[in-house]
Amino acid sequence: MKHTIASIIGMIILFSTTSVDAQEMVDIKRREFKIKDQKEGFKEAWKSIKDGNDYYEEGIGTFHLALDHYLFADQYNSSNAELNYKIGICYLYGDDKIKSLDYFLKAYELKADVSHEILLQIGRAYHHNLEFDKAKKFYLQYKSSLEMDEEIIQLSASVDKLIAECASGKEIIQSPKRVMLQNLGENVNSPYDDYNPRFSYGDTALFFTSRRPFDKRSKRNPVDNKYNEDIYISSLTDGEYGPARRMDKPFYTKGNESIVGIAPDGESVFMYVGAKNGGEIKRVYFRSDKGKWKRPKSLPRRVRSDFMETTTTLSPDGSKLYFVSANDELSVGGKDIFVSELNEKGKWSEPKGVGGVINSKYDEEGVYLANNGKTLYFASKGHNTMGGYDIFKSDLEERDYWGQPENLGYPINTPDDEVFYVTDSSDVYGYYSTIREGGFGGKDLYKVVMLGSEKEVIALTKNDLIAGFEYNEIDPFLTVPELLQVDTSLLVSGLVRDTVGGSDTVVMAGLTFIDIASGEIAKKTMSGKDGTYKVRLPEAKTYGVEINATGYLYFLDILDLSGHDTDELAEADFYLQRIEVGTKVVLDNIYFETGKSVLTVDSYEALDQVVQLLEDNSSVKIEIAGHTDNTGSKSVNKRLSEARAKAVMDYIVGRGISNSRLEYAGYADEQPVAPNDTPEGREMNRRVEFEILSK
Amino acid sequence: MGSRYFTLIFLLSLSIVLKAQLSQKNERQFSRSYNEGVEAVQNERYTDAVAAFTEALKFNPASAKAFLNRGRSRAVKGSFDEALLDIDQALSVDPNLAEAHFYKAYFIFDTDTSGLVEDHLKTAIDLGFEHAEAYYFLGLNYLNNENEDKALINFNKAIELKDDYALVYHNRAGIKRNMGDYSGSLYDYKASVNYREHFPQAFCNMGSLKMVLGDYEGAIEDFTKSIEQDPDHYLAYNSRGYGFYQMGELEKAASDFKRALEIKLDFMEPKLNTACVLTKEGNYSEAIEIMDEVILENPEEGILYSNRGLIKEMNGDLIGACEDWSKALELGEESVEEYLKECN
Repeated sequence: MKHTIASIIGMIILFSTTSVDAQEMVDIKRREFKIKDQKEGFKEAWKSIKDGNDYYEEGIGTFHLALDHYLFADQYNSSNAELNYKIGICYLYGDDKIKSLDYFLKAYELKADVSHEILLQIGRAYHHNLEFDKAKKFYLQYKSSLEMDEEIIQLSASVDKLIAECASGKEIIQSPKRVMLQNLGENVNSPYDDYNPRFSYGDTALFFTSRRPFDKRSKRNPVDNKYNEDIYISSLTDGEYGPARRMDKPFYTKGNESIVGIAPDGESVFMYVGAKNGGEIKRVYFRSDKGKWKRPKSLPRRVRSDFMETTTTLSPDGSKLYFVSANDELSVGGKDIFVSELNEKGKWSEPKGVGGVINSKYDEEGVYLANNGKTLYFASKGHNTMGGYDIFKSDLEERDYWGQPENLGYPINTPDDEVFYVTDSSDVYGYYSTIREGGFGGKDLYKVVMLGSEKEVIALTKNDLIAGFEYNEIDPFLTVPELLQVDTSLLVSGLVRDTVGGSDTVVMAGLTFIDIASGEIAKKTMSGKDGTYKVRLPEAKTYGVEINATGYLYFLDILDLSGHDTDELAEADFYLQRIEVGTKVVLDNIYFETGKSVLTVDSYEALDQVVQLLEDNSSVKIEIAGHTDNTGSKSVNKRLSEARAKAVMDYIVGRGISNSRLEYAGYADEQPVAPNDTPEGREMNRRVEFEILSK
Repeated sequence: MGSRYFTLIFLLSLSIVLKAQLSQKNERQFSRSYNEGVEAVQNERYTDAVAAFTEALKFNPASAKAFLNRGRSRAVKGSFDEALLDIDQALSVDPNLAEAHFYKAYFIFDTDTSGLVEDHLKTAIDLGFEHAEAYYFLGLNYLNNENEDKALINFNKAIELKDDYALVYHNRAGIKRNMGDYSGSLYDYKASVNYREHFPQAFCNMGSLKMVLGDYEGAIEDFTKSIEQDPDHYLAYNSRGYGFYQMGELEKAASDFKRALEIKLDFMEPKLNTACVLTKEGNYSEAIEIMDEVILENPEEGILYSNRGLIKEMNGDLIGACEDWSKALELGEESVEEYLKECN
């Protein structure tokens, strides 16, 4: 089907890539479609094919209806090449382009020459599936299958363009943009094409173009068999869109119309009005005094041309008008973006191209200047589009110089046509129309949220790195206190008296206190001339007391102070016996080896007392006498007692006492001091004693 | 005249003798009572010890050691105020009593704000109180005052004196971690739990360190151990939840965060982390609701605004995200500068 340029032109027709491609008519032959030996279902299926063909021939606008019938027929016979091909075409020119691939491949498999364009269509199907390498392969195959004439050369150039788009596409999808596309919802979108959004001043409403039928009288455009374009408006309150309604006059005509620009001050809008000669942009002013819109006025003569002007945008200060024109006298190639400036007299300048970096040798369309006045959005089939029109943006770098256009990337752009990208007053969010899975049908309006790079929310931990302490963890007694040395000493005092003189006689003597338990000397002291002594003994315990004084026999006794209150003075008087001739002293603690006269070591202490006595009293002479009890032989006893007495004398002499002062004798049992008829008596009789002989 | 003089001398001497005899008696009685106190301490009869030292002080009110030991006995019984009074008395009698300085520091550790703890501990050490505990407390004091260098020196000394001092290992581990010595830190944490089996805080912190080192499995084991030892350890629950979150086990993570919050209602981190889990699950609205709540409770935390901004961005509310990031930047969260480039 050829598209008639002379028909009333709508906006979308002007930019639609698909509408201008030639489509070869492919017939489904009845005898080929009918399955041998399978009559059942054929009748209904064939009727569907005929119905589908009717819709198919009407144009793109009813392809979706043709598709329904073809798919029904496909259930009867899914192996008909022509049917598969036509299903593929319906998909390719409809909303679900990627579904066309399987059908084209199947058609090709069934019949390689099902259509002269099968290779091209497969290439396009792969293209829409983002399988660029495979798309390129089939494009090249298609291109090589062409026979060269002028028309084919042009077609070949188109195929080259497609291959170039594949290369761009392959690179673009390597770095997909992180973006969120939000469908504006059922209050805005319809099952038909909805596109070209424009926000009113202050974002209080959204204008857009829709090809939905308004009522039963709505007419289809013969070019593509879709309903004519009308302008719709949806109110916007707190981010919620109200149900869209078609705008009335002056925005409604019997043909196609579309809002293509809104003045920054909101006092006027630009609308495209379709016409037989291609249409033009008109400006519609709002009369605030009357609260209504005036009749649309054509753009100034300088701005409009004999060619088509499609979309337009005003700079924020209203001094520059950017617009798209098909003025091939001035364009670089196809439709270009032009700019005209308002001078101080209120006149618009001659339009000039917006700059070589913006306008390509292919069509540009859908120009829009962001509210900041520094970012220009437009669609282009040139630059590095990945297919059809892609959305680009350029930033103003110097006065009137626009920077290198940047493709907005995938998934905003796809191999299909993306046109009419605008922003709201914030310039943060973008809006455009596209076909996406989950849409309402046809092109839908979407909000674009650019999300920047991938980010992650940050989870947190919390630490308590310092361990304190519990008071009961630390031992208050890290060091155990030590016991004090308690003063256990005891003060002892008393008198040393003469036994003969009684209490009136005092003696100067040397006192030695011996710790009975340890045998160690605890203290030594002397009594004074008055006979008193005072001594501090270590403890209240039992002591042995030795007292020596000149002229007196040595004194040995036990002083038991245990239990005595150490805070109280202890008193102990001692009585000494004078040395008198004839005085006898039994030597206690003298021990001999059994039956012998050998002194044991234990005897020395007592004998030392005798030695001391003799040293202290240098004139004293003594006799040492050995005695026994009456048991045993008298002669033996005699010899033993004598020997023992001698042994004692020898010891004393050995200690330095002159033997002239000593005598010894053995008396056996001749001088008993106790009866021998008792063991105790006999023990007492077995003794060594000394007698003072002279002093 | 002469006889009066001699009488006077005699009487004076007698009084001196009598006095000497009396103080000697007091000293003896003091010693006995003191020793009773010591024996009571040795046999852990602290009530008797207090009574004995009190008795001893009647005979010698100027015994610093009696005050010290009575104070320590009172401390064992939990009467810390009285204990402190005794320590003060001990110090007033003998300012060079090293132990008294140590215990003074010990008893005022939690309440001191004027540097007295440091002074007393240093004095105790200077006077020869060479105990690990003194160095530990000094190190802890420095740590609480954020002087990690000095804290480390003292902790090292404490361990020299007592090589199984679990608390010291633990705190030293924290310092090493902050200094970037992770292997040293890990060693110390291991030592701390080796010498003190029941140490939930150490297990938790060790787990936290392992997470820094990327050993999430090991970390989770430690957090679990911490929780076993202290079922109310909310930090461990939150940290373990964080570990699960990093490993992608969102359900377990959410469960742990919930438990942490049950234990400690005003705990910010698990609330934030719950929002992170919801975000990972794509439940942005609910995540934002939680972040709203957390921010209301913690309006000066920049990270919260940053996170809420990220969630809003993921939810398509770029304007809301930019507002939050701006606020985060105001509050000093510099990481959002990169995000703000997305905002016009």
